[in-house]
Amino acid sequence: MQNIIEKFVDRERLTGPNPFLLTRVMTKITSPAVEKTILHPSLKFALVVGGLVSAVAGGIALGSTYSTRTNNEKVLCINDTQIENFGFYYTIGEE
Amino acid sequence: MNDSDIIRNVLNGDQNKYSLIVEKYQSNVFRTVMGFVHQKENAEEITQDVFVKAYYSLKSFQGRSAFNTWLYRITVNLCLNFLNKKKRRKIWSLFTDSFQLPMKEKFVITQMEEAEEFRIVQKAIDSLSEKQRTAFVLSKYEELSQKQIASVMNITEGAVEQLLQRAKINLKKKLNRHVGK
Repeated sequence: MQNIIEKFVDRERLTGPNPFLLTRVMTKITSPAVEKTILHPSLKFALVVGGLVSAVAGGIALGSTYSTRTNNEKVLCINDTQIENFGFYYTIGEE
Repeated sequence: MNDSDIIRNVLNGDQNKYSLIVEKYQSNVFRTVMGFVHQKENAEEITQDVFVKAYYSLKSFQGRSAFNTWLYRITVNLCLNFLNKKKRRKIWSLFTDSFQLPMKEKFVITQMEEAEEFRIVQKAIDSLSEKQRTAFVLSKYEELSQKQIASVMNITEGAVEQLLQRAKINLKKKLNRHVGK
């Protein structure tokens, strides 16, 4: 068991770094630093909270614009086309 | 020229002297990083970051510990940060890997049998806790003494001994489970 671990460690230890590593590091150090615009963690947190608050507020505002409209007028719709047909059969029966 | 002379020169504005530091410690840093990430490309990136970070933090180095101890601390911290980020991305990578599988498969299958043993060891090392893993890597990859490891990890030598013992037991358990089958 110990042999397997040692074999594995030895294999990884034999892996060498890139011969240009030194050049790459020195280039990074000597080249003018590019300032990254990274948001401050507290600002990030504030933005997330602000986003959540505005989403909730927007939802409430949209919800309150909805109003239930009730219609008190009653309308009766009667299809009278079939009534005439009954009349027709009635007159036939009398004959 | 010893480390403190080089550092003094660098802090006085002689940037090029920093190359002596990189040259001297690049193999040590790279080996340590390999112990954590096991992948050459990632190890090179992290090694580069270690030296860049060390350069910009050089002013904060007070010389209370040896320079290499301070450098090892930066190395371990960056490695652990990398692994934590990787863990967070794991779900996403599992998803994307499922699309890449057909392309990878051929390559993996040819190498799988010979690498199986190493894969199991790697998995076992990766499953150790952060502290056990740090102690194990510094001891096995860098062959640091327990005193040096204690200094890097800011713990007592006894605690290092304990961590190494626990790491050994855990590795044995995990390997027995796989290899012993």
